[in-house]
Amino acid sequence: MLTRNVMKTADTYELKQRSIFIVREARARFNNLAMLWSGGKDSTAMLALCREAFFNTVPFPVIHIDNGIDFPETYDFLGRLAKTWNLDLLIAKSVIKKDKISGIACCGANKTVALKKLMKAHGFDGLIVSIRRDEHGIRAKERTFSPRDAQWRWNYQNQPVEAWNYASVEKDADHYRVHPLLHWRELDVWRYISENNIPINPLYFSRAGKRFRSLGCTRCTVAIRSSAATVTDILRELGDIRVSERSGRAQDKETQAVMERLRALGYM
Amino acid sequence: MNRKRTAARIPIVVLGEKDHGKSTLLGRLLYETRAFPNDRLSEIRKAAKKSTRRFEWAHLLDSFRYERENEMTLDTVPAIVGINGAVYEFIDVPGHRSLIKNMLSGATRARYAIALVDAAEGIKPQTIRHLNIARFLGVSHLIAVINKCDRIGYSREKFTRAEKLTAAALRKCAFPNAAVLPLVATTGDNLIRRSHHLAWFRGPTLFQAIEKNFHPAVSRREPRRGLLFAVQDVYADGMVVGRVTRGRVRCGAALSIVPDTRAYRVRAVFSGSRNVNTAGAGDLAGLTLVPPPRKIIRGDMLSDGTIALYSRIATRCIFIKKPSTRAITFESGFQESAAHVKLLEKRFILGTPLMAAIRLRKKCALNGEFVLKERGAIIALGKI
Repeated sequence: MLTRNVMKTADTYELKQRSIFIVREARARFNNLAMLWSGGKDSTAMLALCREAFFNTVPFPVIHIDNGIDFPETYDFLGRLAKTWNLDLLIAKSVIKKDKISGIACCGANKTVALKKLMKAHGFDGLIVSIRRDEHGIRAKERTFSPRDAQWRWNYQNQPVEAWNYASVEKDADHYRVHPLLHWRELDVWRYISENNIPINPLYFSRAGKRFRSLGCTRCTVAIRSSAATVTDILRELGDIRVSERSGRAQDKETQAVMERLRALGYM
Repeated sequence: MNRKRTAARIPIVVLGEKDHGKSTLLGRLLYETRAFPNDRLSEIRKAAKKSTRRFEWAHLLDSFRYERENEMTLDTVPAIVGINGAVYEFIDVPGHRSLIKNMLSGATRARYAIALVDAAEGIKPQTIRHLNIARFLGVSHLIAVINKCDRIGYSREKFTRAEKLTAAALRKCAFPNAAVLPLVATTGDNLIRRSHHLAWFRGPTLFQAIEKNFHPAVSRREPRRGLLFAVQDVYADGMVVGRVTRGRVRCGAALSIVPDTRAYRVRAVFSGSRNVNTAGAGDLAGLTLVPPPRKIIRGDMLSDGTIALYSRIATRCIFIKKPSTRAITFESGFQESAAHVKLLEKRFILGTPLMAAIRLRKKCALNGEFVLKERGAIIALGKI
């Protein structure tokens, strides 16, 4: 007898403990740490987790990669929360070229170039990125501490060993991507947001029968049909959904193996 | 924390020789439990049509093109399945011998295991290696599965023979009570659904066996033991963060920084950034101490009694790479020391528990798991 009972499953306490452990470990191990913040639910939840780990502050710069075509709601949200939480917000300005709106050119090349420039200028050696395994098959294969070489490549055919809570941190990497949210599912993130009243981008809530389930910029994100207007509605909706979260994201399509190419190139 | 904690995830590693069906089993399980999104499944089917390879259940986990083209798992990945109120984290690992480091990266997270044996091929040396690793890692319960029973014509006699050989191997690897079940992972026969092909089998389906034997960790009532707190970091405002490795820390408790005897009082205990009064074994916590210690750093151990520190260890380790004679670092919890490692066995074998003598430059408190590193990379896993 099988019942899908996702509403009542695993507590966020264990997940949270692991994430807090990872960010504290990152802060102890890297000289110059930063975090990516898109204004989406995952990186915002991650910021809240950092505030838990570091006693109501975020003790490192927070980077927003701005291609100029995010939603107005996102810009507004970023500005407000950065003020309330007293964040050291850095903007990596990426340029959109009119003719190239595709996963590779826009999210891959443009955003990565902007981030590279900013990281180099600041000399960051650790970057917290709020990806999760359940978002995509390629992300699922990531390590918690994931090195990038001088060309920013991800050597996925030879990833370092992680055993128990120990991670390999080799000296010859250009920088490490740190993934404290890797083991969370979409549902877990919403449960955490709900339990802790985390402020969230209003685009996730239904307006005129539609809402965003995953947020990118205005060109490549598509809204889903939904009447979920509150976090509780979203939790209820996720309990009975069989379509993947990023189904509205062009870059994720299997047929093009785009994600694998993007990640190997250093894209988030 | 007075709040009742609901069930945590149940981590289960799937073991066995390459091509015995580990990823296939998990892919099929994700499909049958409806834990995999429909649109991603049809994307994968479409991707298979465009390539030269047929669609396989393993593709739900093997997402690298390299993995699909070569029909082998390169790296570990967990598959999370929530059923009947429990959340299982099934950990897929590569079976290939040269990929033991990726296997360990997944297997160290597991508390339980499922071992797969190809019905036609039987137990392989690599199956035994995986079983020995599971025993070394402290896997508490294991279920063995004879997979691909379609290849032996669903024969009861052939299954019984394979079952006997498997049970003997399991006894040798110190899993004497493990159940052995027949299965066809590609079709899901005896996975969740009973199979008319295997109508002669009276035992449980794999899923019934999982539900019966694999449970979430219950926090047992801890024996009254001295407190041990491992310091992960110390922040500018004097906040000491780390993990309670033993006992319980309470507000007002007196403790010292080992091996110093000077006493400090715990003024406040934090869980995350919340002020709580107490934290138990396994919990992360932040502590403020009075008077503020002048010298306290990552790797220090705090204790309310005396604890032994060691500089010489003889224990079993699994090596991923042959250790060099120089520049090896020992890490246990947050403690770190330069180490010298000497193998106590005649033959060096990768991925098999071996006795080693380890000499530490700095004395360390020993509890549980440790790793050896070379230039920041883990080269061996050990247990005390």
